[in-house]
Amino acid sequence: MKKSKILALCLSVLTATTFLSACGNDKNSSVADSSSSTEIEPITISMLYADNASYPVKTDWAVFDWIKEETGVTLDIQAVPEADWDTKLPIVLNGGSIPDLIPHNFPKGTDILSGVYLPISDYVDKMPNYAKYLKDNGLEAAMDAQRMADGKYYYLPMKAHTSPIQDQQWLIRADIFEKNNIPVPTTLDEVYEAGVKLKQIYPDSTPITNRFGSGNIMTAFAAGFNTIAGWTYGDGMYYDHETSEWTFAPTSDNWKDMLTYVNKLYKDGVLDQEFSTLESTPYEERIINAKTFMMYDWAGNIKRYTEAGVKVDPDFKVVPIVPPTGPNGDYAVCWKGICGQGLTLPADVKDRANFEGILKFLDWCYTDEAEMLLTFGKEGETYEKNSETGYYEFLQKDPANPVDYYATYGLDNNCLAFREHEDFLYGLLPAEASDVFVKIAEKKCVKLPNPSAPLTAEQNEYTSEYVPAIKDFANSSMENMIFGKTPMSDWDNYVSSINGKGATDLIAEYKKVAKVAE
Amino acid sequence: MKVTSTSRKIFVVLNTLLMLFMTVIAIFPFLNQLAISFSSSQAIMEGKVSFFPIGFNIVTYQDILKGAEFWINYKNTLVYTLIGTAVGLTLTTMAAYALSKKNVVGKKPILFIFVFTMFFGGGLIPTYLLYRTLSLTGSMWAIILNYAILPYHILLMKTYFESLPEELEDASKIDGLSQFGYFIKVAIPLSKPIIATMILFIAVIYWNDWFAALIYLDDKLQYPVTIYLRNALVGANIASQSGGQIDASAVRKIPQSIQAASMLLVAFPIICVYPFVQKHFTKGIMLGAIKG
Repeated sequence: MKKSKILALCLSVLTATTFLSACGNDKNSSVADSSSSTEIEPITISMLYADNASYPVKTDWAVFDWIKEETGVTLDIQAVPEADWDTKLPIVLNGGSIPDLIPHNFPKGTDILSGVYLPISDYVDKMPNYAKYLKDNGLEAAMDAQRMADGKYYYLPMKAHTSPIQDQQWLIRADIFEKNNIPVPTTLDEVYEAGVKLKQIYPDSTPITNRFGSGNIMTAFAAGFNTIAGWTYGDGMYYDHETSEWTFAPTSDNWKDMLTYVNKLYKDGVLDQEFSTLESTPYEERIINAKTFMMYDWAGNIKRYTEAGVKVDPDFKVVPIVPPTGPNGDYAVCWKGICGQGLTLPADVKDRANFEGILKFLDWCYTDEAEMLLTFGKEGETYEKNSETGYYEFLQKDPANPVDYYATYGLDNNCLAFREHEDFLYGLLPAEASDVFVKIAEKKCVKLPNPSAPLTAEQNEYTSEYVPAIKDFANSSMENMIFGKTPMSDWDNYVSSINGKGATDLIAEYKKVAKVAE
Repeated sequence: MKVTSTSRKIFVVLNTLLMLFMTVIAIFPFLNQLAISFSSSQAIMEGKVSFFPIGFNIVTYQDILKGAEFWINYKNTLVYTLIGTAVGLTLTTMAAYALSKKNVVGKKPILFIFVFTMFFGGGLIPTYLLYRTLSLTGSMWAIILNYAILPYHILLMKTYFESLPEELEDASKIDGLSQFGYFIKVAIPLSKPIIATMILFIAVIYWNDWFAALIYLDDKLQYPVTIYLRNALVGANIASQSGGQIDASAVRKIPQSIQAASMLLVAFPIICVYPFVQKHFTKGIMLGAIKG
């Protein structure tokens, strides 16, 4: 009985696969040509590609055809599963044959020093459209801040905007706040008060929740306390743009205040007890089922949550809020540069036959036409202007069966959209919150990131020996203090332990740089 | 079963209940995923689904049937497992048999070389460069040869072969069998339990592998289904843990019902192998243990 079942299964699988494998792709490769005529010759550019399971890359995506029409470029895609990108990337970088383009990658300082990446800033004069894009939008300073000690930068912005937009934001269940007469929090203290009230009204809820480890939410809190933590931690050194000074974040008073505050949230049940371990699925279930009311999430997810949420509660409404003010006069918003992704090139690409063509292609990617084409596609075919809001948005002829433009066209793709049209982000917001980014911009609470690694090659080599250990210790101590496992009264002990792990040396190295600069 | 005393009766009842309870605990995740795979996405999002599907539908399976990549990768896994198990079993059996013989020249150094690899590796990137130099990267042989010889398997089989009586070999020699003839006609038929165990061990390793495929293969149409599944199920979570970039595009995920259905489809074949091999399985391990 069982045997025949297995046999049947195997047979059906084999039939299905043999049938389907007939629909496989064939890669066109043509010889690269480095002629410098105005017309771009057809060339092939290889690209490492971070593959997401919900929109797996397909060679027949319309976006590839459009790129080819406009530029003559055929992209030869080497797909790597997004989950294991960080495992595979070092193999690709060290294994000998690196594709021409590596998107989804902000270069690590140590890799830059090893000479594996191309200093793309040396070639800006060959990319007039890129230079124009930076100049027209006043973004040159943002890229200049990315220069290493050698005065060069090693990546190009991808998913780049014309102004810094922080699309990851505090989101609240507006309907629940309204129903219980709780004002929308404008300061972190009000966040706490709102949380306590909500906990009283809904005892089995966790007013604030989080996924992707403590890094996600701590990034948000840290900004409110004028420090860095979680995903913005870096090597722990924080640059204050006002005083032009470097401080070591994990031993600063701001860091201590931050932990005291988050510990209070945790202790009083406002912050999810599982905030550092919760997985995506239960996290999203909590949002849908009114078990949580405040989270630090991407504004782009609101639409998805609302679609499922209104079926549970017709009033379900999630909106992004203007970041609550922190105690140090700053705002609890994580800063982000002008781009969400980085594109790197291997150093030896400059000797490859198609290098001129690559530069031309990259230059085209920063034009306004490319921005529109790679974000939204073609007018009338894939997008239209919404007459009510004035934003461009994807065309949905049948709202019951919306077209997934990521998966069927490859649009607004992390590895293909060099510039992302800002309407894409605005269009996703609920009408009453559509001006939240404008308000954030007005408040100027999106801070500049740290200047890119100011240390010299030798210093970096030296500090890279103990920076990871310090980071691990700082993160685990941070969580222990939030959980209350380590009382805040142990602060002095903690400071001397972390200094003993090399923090003192790290600070000393940065002091040397500061002196040189003077 | 003949129940004698009252305390014995109580024990049997409690024991049965406990075993049933543990069985339910073991089966629940599978039933739960099965129920999810047939439920409506709304019911899943609301966390209502436990044992039985809510909003029963087969849309999920229809969607999966349309997903070419899943089936291409599934086929790859089947191919790698079948060929890998055949190659691995052949090589392991022959190596183990030879090493079980007392009079093999250089037996100790050879064994040492095998065992050495259990404790020391060459490191990921040097190993990758070696595979590359051998032109193995980008071909399925990188996966198959990677797991073909595992020292633990050799040791297990060697111990089993050593337990076969030497007199048997003497007797077959007298009857005119060569060394190889004895191996094929006598030793292997007598070793069915350990061979069945090995088939299971090796097949599970190939079936579950994703790491070697990730490292040595570049074309996603060559990937086994495990890589697909890993990316689909926990992509963003793993990426965030390993310090990867997370953004609004990266957190997009495929519906939970599809995750559940894919997971069941991948687990099903290997689960089905267990009942057939199990009777040999315990015997094989035990024999090796006692007589070794």
